[in-house]
Amino acid sequence: MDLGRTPLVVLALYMVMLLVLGVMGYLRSKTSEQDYYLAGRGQGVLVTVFTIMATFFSSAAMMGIPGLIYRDGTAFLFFALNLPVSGAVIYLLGSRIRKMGQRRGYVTPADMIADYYGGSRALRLLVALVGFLYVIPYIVMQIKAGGYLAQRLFPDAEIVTLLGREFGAFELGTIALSVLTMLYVLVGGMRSVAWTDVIQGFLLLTGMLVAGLATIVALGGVGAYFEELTKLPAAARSMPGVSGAWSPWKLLTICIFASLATMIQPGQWMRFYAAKSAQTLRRSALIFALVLPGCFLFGVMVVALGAHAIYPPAMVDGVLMPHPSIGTAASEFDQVVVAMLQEHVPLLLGATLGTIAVAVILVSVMAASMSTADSNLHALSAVLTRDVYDRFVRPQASERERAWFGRGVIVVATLLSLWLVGLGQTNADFQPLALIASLMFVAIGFSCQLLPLALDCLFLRKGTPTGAIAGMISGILVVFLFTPFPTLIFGQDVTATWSGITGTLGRLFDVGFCGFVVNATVFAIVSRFTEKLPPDHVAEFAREMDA
Amino acid sequence: MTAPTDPTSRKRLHGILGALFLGALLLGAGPGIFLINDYAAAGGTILGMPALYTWAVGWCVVEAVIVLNAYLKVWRHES
Repeated sequence: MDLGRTPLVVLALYMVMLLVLGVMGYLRSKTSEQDYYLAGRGQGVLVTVFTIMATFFSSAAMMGIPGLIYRDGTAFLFFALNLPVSGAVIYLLGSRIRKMGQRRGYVTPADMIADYYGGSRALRLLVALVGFLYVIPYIVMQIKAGGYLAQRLFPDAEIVTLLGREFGAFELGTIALSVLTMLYVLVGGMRSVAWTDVIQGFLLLTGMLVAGLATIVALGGVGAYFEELTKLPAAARSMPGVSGAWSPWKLLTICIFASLATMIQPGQWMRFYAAKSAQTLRRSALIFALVLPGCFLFGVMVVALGAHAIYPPAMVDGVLMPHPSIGTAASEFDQVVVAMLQEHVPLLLGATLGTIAVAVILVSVMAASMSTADSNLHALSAVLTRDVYDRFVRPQASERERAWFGRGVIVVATLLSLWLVGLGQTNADFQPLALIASLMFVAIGFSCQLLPLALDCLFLRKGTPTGAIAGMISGILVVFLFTPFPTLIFGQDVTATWSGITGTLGRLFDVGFCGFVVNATVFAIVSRFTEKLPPDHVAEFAREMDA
Repeated sequence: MTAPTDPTSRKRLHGILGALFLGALLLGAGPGIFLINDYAAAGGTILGMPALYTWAVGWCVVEAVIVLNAYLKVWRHES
């Protein structure tokens, strides 16, 4: 259904509001680095919980995950069980990270990890590399979501030609999302990011629930909705799902390790440092664990399962494809929520009210993307400025110079991500990880390689710097083997053997978990035979942690 | 049940809640699914909803209740 100009007006209002918040954040900010990156370490419960939730719920939550549920049916619903786990992690790991951050003035994850492991420069670089490997795919998938949304909202948009290149709705959507996000992160730092996250978090939670409600009403009420679900084909009602991709072990490892990895990625780690008190994190953990599962299970998941009942995917030439009403390519399962709402809500609520409701919900999809992209851009800026530029390139740089470098990182990372999205659209040979959810699992897999180090310095304190370095390198390499990049780089002939192994393991377990097992094993073995940290250094760290 | 007042009892309760949470995960998202999968594939329902859907929602609620208990009885009493 054509939504006319309403989405454009709602989007414009939303974007103006974000820019105003960006400027307000700038006006309240001080010139210090700690203020730009951690908002003065004084964020209360409301801002903390919304910024953590909005950073956690990305385009994957509104597009990628519903896309997998639409494709596979109820099997992937179990992904929701990772949400209470993530809530618990906010308190169990976050409160310890916050305490040490406040005491020792840490800003990035590497500040803490390198400090604990005796100031290891190699480890600082590796932690920064993991941050980079997590953040870039995550920003790419948010920008892609902006493109998909624009494509759906403005299917008849005119092609604009600029510098010999043609820009359609997809390209203009990606540019609008990334430039706007870049602008308010540049201007106001963490304060603007967190404030916009509050608005975006509220919008996306509301959008999820309204979308679920609209689907149930469209299908004739709760009874009729579940009646439809009971008619789903057997594969869509059970494990391993329609595509055969999900085993209980894979879902279990995702629920545990993806949750942990998502909560210790640089953006979330810095949010723990920025929280005002331990009580702030406790309450945030509780709200997260209670609110998000509800919004997920009774919101977008309802939409995706309803879509499976109304528009079942089908095998076409041996490839599982979405119904033509949802998408025309295997990579378009992601568009299920947008397509369902666009089709059913105006019919349900009438043209005017329905169109406004759809526009608001679609803005919430945009909000999900932008709130994650902004946090990741901001975190990457901190990581590359403090952990690389300040330590290895120009240690004598003034705070003002570092601030400008950090802003430069935000611009370059935005442009790099935009370029990668464009490459994926225009180059048929560059189609790795076409689905948003696939990009998400790879990014989380890299972030998971911080886990053995985080657990060691927060709880165990048995590892050595050499063990940590060896473990991280091994873990990163293992995750890399699970991506399509080795085949793209070395060719099918060279990678055939390990592709078979990673293919089998990837069907059984989460990618991050596979990397974690190798990482933790190497870490433990190497630590046993290499020089230990000075006992008084470890004891001092433990004393401060447990004080 | 009121919150334990001494740190040792709180630590023990934390351990019990942790074990229950892990159990809920194993039954909910892990091999516990095998207990219900055949019934779900055959079109079985629980409370009028597809069996696997109810299983997922049910265990998610159990996890959330455990986190709520941990907050009320352990976390908020820690310094």
